[in-house]
Amino acid sequence: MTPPSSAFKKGVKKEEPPLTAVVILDAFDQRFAPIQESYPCFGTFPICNVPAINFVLSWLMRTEVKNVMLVVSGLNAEHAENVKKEWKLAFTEFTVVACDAVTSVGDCMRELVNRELITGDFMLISNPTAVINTNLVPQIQEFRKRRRENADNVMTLLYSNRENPERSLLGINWETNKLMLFPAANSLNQLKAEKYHFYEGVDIRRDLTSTGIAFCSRLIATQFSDNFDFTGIDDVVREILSKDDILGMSVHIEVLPTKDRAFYAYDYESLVLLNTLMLERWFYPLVPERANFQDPTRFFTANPRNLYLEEDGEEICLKANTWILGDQCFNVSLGTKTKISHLAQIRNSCIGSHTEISKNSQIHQSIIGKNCRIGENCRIEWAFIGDDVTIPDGTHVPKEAIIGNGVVFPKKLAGIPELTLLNAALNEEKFEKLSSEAREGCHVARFKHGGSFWRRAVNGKTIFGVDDEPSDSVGSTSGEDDDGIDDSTRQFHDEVFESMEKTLESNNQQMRNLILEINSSKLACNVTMDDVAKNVFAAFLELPNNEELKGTQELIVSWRDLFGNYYKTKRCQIHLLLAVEDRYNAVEGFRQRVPALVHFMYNNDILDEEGILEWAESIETATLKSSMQKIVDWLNQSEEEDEEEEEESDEE
Amino acid sequence: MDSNTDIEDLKREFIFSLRRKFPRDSSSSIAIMTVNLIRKIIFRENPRTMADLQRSLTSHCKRLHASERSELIIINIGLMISKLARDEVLQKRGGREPEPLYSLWRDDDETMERLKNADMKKIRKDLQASIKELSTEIESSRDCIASQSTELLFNNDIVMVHSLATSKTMHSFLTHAVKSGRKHRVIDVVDEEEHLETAPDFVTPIELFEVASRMPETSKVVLVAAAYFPDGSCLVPAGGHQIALLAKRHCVPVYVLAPFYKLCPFFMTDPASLHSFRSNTLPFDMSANSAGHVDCLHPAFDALQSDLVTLFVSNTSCIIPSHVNRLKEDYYHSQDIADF
Repeated sequence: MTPPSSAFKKGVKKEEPPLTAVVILDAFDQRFAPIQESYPCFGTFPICNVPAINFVLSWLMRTEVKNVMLVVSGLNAEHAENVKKEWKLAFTEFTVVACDAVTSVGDCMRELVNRELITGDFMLISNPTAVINTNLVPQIQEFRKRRRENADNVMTLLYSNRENPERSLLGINWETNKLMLFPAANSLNQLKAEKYHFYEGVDIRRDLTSTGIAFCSRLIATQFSDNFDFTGIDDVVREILSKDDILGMSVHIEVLPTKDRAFYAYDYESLVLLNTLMLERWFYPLVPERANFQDPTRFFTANPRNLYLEEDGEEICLKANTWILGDQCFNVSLGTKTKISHLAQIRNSCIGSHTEISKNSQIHQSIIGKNCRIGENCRIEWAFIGDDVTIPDGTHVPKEAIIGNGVVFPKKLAGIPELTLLNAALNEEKFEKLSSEAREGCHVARFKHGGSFWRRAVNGKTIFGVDDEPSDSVGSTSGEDDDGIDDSTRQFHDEVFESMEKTLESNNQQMRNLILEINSSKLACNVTMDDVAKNVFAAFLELPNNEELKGTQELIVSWRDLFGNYYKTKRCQIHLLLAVEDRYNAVEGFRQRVPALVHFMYNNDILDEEGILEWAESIETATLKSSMQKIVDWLNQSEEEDEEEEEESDEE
Repeated sequence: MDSNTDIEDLKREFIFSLRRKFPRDSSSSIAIMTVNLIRKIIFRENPRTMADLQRSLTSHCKRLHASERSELIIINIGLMISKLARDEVLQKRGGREPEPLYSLWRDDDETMERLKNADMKKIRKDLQASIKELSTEIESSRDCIASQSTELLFNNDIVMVHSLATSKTMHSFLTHAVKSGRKHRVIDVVDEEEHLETAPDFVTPIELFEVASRMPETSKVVLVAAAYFPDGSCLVPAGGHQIALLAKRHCVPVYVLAPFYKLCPFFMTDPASLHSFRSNTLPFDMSANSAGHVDCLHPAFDALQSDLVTLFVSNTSCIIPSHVNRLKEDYYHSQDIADF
């Protein structure tokens, strides 16, 4: 009898059930649109010609994890089933959770919570390229210890000891490892630290790299479902930190010892880096030749200078070592039946099967797909090249280029840095943040907001981070480039405007949903109640229906619940009126409508006399003041008349 | 139940269980696992003739080995079982007793023909029994090797050993000597600093750089083979080559513990082809600057030429390197080796 696999793991204590691993198989980032054609599912993206998910499951197999949940978007369910077929034997339970129409990690988590699949503590691997070389025994123990000490220690994030490429920062209490400071989504290398933080023993760490692995309690999953604009684990971290006093939860950071290594890829830059690290065997025993079960006919040999060759299963024999590349090559992974000239220089790269590389070409730090033809004297550095690509002789592919499937590289485009080339125009409905234009027989793609394809963050700014969008469309993010204090309120305004637009378009204008969305935007942008009051109405006034007074009036009546929710107090009402004032100053056509609008809102019990009167006194613009004077006078009169009614409306 | 998918699952589970363990399991338990796996495969496939059996064994072992390159044991076990089956067939047919000494050449046509058409059904039971025997032999090999320690280690010997922490065979070899009342000292060469503290109390741990200074006082060197070959060369855990070279310089005998299942029946012309590498050993934070520029070699094994080895301590006896080729015939059939 083969000893049962469980016999090996006796370290796990009985009373603590082993963690469940939740692996998200997709990367919800439009950055990866150019590779969607070959690898619709990010988990199957080849690192050293091995699908990335294989590495994840290989290390998971060595940890105490026995149950794996593979979460995948509905479109890629087939890939997940394939993975399951190969790997189900390695774990006691292997479930594929296919969620339709998910656009973020947050959506996946919400789906899991809705289906009540998360029953206890779990390990969240939010990126299918997360690799690590240990079995995490001390780290999981530490997490459990923290959980026992205090049930509010809800999450432990795993970091490895290495300077990260994005230079992002963290503030950690050096005694308890509690996370104190976390950067905002759009400035990874800035932290807002107060003086008292330093009295409390906070270390600012720049020498840590996130691993994409988090140990979470069930509460984290519910955080996602409570805030349905959360897209990634970072949002939850920010939420917990910003509401430390209300939620009372804390996040801890576990830094791996120096001998342990971990890394994950989130953009092309880090993919290439991960590929190099993997080729250099940093994550042993997680190495290319030991990670492939996907297909029993695929075998890898490892050779000196970190050269890996995929071989046909039938031709393998003990003595086979006839494969020789030029001396100039190292850290290379080759697929089957590649034709590489002895004079080609290849370093830190991964070459797909059946690809031909002619002599005197230099390929550094690149990932090249299957069936490509690369001519003589080419130079390719820091590039991602898809399948069936032809690079003509003597081409110098610009750095940080991304070349999609089937492209014949036009030499005229060689001078453009950070080029993203595609064979066909992008489906802009599917990838609403991207646009493409035809040039030289190809299509050049770019982000509409001008961000970089290759890197997620430029100087610490993720113009909009991977994590903080898909539900937003372009409008909300276009103005975010300038940072500053107003940034968050402005973002809030944009988000609210958008939610309103959406609600307006929808058939049944559900105020409850709109209010929820506004509330979550409020939390995400961390704006004060005053700003909420002001901006909600400012956004409301910008709606297309409000060009005419009549439209506004109709909308106010039908959206009554919304105003009832936000404008109960005098203070909020004043802020509403301040928004009106701003609008008055900004838009000329709006001016004559103001008195009627205010009057209408008064009649509909949205505004009270007190608020209007107080605001009217503070008005600085003379014209507005005079036009409001009539109402003020009238109000002063009526105040005396029906005091009782007023009291009632106050109580409401 | 489809027997093919069943076998694929068995194989996959085998590979999973190999890979799940890090650091790696002891080689004897891997050998036993392999024996069990092959027994199950034979049972499921139920080959009709000897030729079928041989073919399936070859292809299974090739594939298993291809996914775990450093485990030569898988091939060895496969070939051993193939040879067991051959012997059973010949015995059943009332042919002459298989004579390992004279079967260096290939079988004559008559025997070949008989083997090809032999009905496996008849020998199935016997084959299962002899496979069981094989696994008991593997199980007992550690004790057999340990019991020879009294013949090799004497009072007042100073024994230098390597990779004591990872080899259970080495451990029992030394403890057996201690138990039998030998008064010798043991110097253990350790690879990692943390092993300095965890070493058992009867040894003096030193690091690899101290080997040269300690070699003059050493009277014996004992190493563990990862694999050994008919030409008398062997693979030992990395670092062993340096120790053996120093031992040769100081004329210190080198004993290599080599259970029979580690005998690989192929002549390796190029030991480099067996190299398997371990992790990059630099601290991870250096990778931020060094990634793609520094090649850090960390081989798992050293190849020892036969002239560096004095004796192989196998489970049956001690043999000199030049006799390993003869030992090969005990366990393997030349036809199987040629066909592989």
